[in-house]
Amino acid sequence: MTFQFLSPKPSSYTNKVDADGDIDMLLKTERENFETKVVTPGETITHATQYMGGHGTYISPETNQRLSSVAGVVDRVNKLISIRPLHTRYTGEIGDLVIGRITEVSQKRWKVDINSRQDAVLLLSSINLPGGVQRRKTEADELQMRKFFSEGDLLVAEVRETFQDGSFSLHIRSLKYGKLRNGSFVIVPPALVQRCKTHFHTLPCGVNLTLGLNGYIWVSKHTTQTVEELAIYSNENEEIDQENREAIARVCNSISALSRHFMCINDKMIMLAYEASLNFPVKDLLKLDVMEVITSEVSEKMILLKAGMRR
Amino acid sequence: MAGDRRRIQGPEVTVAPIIIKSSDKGKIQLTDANGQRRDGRNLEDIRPIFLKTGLISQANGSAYIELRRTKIACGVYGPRQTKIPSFSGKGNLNCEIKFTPFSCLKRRQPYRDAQEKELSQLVFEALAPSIRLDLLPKSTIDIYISVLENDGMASCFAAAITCASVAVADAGIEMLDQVAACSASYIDGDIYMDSDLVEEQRESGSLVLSYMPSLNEVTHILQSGEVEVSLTTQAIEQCTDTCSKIYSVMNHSLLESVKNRIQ
Repeated sequence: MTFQFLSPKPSSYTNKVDADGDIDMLLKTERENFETKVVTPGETITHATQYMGGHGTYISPETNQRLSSVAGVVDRVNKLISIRPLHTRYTGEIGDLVIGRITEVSQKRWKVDINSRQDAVLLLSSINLPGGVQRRKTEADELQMRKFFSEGDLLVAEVRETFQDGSFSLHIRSLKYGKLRNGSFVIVPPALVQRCKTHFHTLPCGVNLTLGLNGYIWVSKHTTQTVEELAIYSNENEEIDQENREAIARVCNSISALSRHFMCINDKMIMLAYEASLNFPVKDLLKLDVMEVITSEVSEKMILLKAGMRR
Repeated sequence: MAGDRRRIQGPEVTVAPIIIKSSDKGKIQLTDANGQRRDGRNLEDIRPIFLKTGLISQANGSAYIELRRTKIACGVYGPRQTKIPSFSGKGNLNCEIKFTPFSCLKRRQPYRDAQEKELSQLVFEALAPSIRLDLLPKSTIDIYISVLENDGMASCFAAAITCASVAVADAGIEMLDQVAACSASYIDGDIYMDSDLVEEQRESGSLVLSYMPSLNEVTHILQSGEVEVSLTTQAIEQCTDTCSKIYSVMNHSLLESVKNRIQ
């Protein structure tokens, strides 16, 4: 008896598989209703009632249609529809790396501005004391809180907890986190910064880069010393020579150029922008036409890189 | 009557002011023989609108509107933490409208006067029903509107509402619908839509309607002056139609800004 092996039939759905390996179960016509659709507040997203509504949507009480409540792109995961606004405040998740600025010192806690709807809190109990000792924080520590962080200080921290009212609790219980020194601060829209394995980078041009998921970015001088050797809460900046200063400024301006043209921001993109910017002096980088030249060069390179990867 | 002695005491008996209607002689003709207005539009037409978002880089959302000589910029800051620590389950909305000193025919004082306060309150009343403040506990949204040039108070007020609503949408704040607003003037028994300063000086009354077109809901109506009921109903109908037209302009400018960012 002979066996015949049949090749598996292609499924009746002409479906895409996303990054997690989930198969899209929608029919093609249904899917086209949503793909890269841009909506404005009050616009009907769908008449069908089978979908679940996520952020940025609401149901009209009169017509039972699902309407959008923000301006942005429609994001659909299977049956869940949400609208992603491109220009909005940061909404965090536990474990996110953020950069913030101290706005207030109060009892046992600091208030930190992290570009979200509410200021985040950093509890005295969720910081490491200088010297790395683990112990209960005493009243004496409470009295000298300004020695650790005072108003206006920048810090890098991790989101420890999120609350109902949209505020966060942060922690810096790791030597990676702490006060920021020796560098320059850039703000970009939070939507542009992608979640990566690491948000601490050392660029080949000798510059340290910390990408906060809240759209705050810290560009600083590269130091070889380990953090333990430094006083963690020191306010003193080190000597930065002319060359380093220029590199930092160039990276900052490259990031501003990317953000102005709404291109996503990660270490690779910043490096491409940095290389493209080398033809111009640093002070020209903030001119609109120069920004355009740089970003168009970056997008060309990205297309080439993508094509190369496919091959 | 115990009064403040420092104030000027008014007479005890009040008399209604005598309003003398000035004669029609020497007045500018508002419409020509074909029923067209001085700038060539019909009675029910509005001025062309220029609307753009994202002009103020510091703000979380911003918009600029221009209807010929009416020019308004608006910036939205927030939602951010309410400064005074008092708990409220709903977000606060702060509106502030400001006429720049050079915006009107007469120079305006740089400090906030009574009219600005009144208009600020009216803008708040027109916008608040559209914004989902219930989702923003303990937060504040600040809306700052600067009038750069004022060509008719009613149309300026309407444009301010339209502009502020687009700016709020640009800030990514959740809202039920955008609010479009438009004004109408009653002049000699006719309804002049979106009247300018010269026309406004001749009006016997005016109406400003704020409207959410896709929900078909009115958020605010402001009427002043003396007018018959039938004319008011007609004006409201015309205003809702016009608001729907303005709404398409608002949508277009928002979509443009979102699409520009995607590419």
